Amino acid sequence: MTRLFDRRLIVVTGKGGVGRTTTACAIAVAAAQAGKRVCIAELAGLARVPEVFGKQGRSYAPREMAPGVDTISLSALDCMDDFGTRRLKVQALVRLVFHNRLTGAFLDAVPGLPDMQQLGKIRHLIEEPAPHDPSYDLIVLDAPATGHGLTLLDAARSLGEMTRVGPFYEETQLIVQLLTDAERTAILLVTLGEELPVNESLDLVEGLGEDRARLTAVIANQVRRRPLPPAPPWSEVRDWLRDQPELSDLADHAHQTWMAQERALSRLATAVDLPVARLPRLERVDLDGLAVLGAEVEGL
Amino acid sequence: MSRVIVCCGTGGVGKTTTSAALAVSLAMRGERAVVLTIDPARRLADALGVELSNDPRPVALDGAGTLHALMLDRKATWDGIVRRFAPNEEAAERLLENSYYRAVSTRLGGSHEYMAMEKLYELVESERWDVVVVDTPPTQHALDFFRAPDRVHRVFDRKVLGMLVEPGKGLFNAATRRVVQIIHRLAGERVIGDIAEFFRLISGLSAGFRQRSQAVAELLASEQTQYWLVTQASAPARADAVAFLEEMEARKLVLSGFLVNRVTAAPGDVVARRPMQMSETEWAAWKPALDALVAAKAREAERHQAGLAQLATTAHGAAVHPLPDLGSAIADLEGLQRLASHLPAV
Repeated sequence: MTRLFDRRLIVVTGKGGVGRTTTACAIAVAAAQAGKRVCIAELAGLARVPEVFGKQGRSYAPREMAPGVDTISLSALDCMDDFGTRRLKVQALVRLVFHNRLTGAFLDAVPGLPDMQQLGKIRHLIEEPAPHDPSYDLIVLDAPATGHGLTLLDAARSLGEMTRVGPFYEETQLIVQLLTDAERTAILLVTLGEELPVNESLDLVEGLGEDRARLTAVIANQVRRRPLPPAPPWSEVRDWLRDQPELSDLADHAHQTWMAQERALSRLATAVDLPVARLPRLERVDLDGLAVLGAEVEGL
Repeated sequence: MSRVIVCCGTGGVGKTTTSAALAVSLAMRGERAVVLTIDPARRLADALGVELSNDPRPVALDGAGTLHALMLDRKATWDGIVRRFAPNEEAAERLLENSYYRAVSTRLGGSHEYMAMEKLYELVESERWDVVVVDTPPTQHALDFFRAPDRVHRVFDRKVLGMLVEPGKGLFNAATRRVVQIIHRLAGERVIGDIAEFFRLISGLSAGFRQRSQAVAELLASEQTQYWLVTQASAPARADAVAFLEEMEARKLVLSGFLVNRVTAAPGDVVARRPMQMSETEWAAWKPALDALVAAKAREAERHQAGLAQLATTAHGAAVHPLPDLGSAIADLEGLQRLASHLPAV
């Protein structure tokens, strides 16, 4: 199997609040340190990645965040222009068609079309970059929080199903090929070491059906270290600390949280039958911290 | 008329649980409350002790009032609208089978939010409730909630999309005709044909549909509707919260306040003392571990306090209510009641 950083596209998925963007950035930083030229892509005009690197603002043109790491914030409208340029060639025609309010309305009205435009841009960066595009070894996609990364695959498929012919259809087929090629694309599911997020991840994996095989690995984010020494056992020490209730409550909470995490993660590992990488919980995530997190993923 | 309480916020901040706790607290205070949840975790359904469906089910709560809960089924709600406003059953059936309609009702951007509003209106209209609490779908941008009706209306507006699929009906210039031709070529005639059929089919029901969505918009802008924003004390969550507030102001809506989840309280002046049962050697391992826990909690509490202060300065006068971190996830009604006891009276 191709090593993680040797692929062309890593799709990082997971529900809101699990640290998906941070994980995507960590992977990018570690891959760049391993010598790759990397771009982190966000969809729907989001620009959370610059914040992770202590920067601000959104830009459709690639911006450097760290050595070897760029980021790009895609939106369906920007990408539609690019799609038009590739398909229609004549700039004046592109302006006429793609800057028309009819086209905007059409884009909003056909489900799956905005996803297709944005994924099409990513596919082009990988497979046939334009002369002015930087050439990247790897694109890390911070997939939308709603649903999961494979909804993107689903969106492309159902748009293909609706269109059946024409340039939109052709593009959806190429996107499906890229997303389902395990040699080139990895799909990572990010979760937390807590009961609720693990349950949601298992539900999600369950709902994937045949696409379950497309998942490459699961990433448990913000994993806590064992907070208390193993001996003497906490159940005994807790009794001994009875006259220090605030301290014993705090320690008990930390211990129970850690135990729940270990239970949840072992349940996850058994149920998904995939590698589970553990990223440690850091108080502050700076560039060094990102590299520490990314290193945990490199072996996948 | 029932009051409406809308809980907004991005995903992962505990919005659904907070909405449920808010409904619990209203029911405890004697109101007939109903909570509309969107995509709830199985655990919340377990906590409420009901099998959630697209219709309200009673929750066994010992309070002065009553509590019902339901879970939005987007497709069923769309289909319900079609059946209600279609001129006859045959027209409804044909629309339900149209492949473009099927795509719109299951995956059109904004349609999830739109159906939440539709369901909300249905609940208000039934006059069975004193208060309707509505959770909102997890969005990329908190603002998607407000943009949803415009997005959906544009789809149903034949002046825009109708031009694309029935070019014979409009009088337009050569440039527009060229645009239409090219879109047809890019998208393929099959989709265009499906959309054209869709427009023919909805023409019978669009008047009712328009009236209805006008009424929903009025309800959401009226004084009977309150908005609460659920967030957390971390920087990205706060940034989303402020962007949301600005969007509300632009729409002349009033935010009742922020509910800030999972705020860590500062530990008291805790100094770990060796229990006499423990040896000096064991204490050498335990003391630093316990000290580290106290210090980490103190730092987290400090960060959260700074976050709350920051939010208060950007809140444009909206109230900021911190909710304590209750430790473990909420697993039952008792847990929801515990969270409810920390909520402001609304």
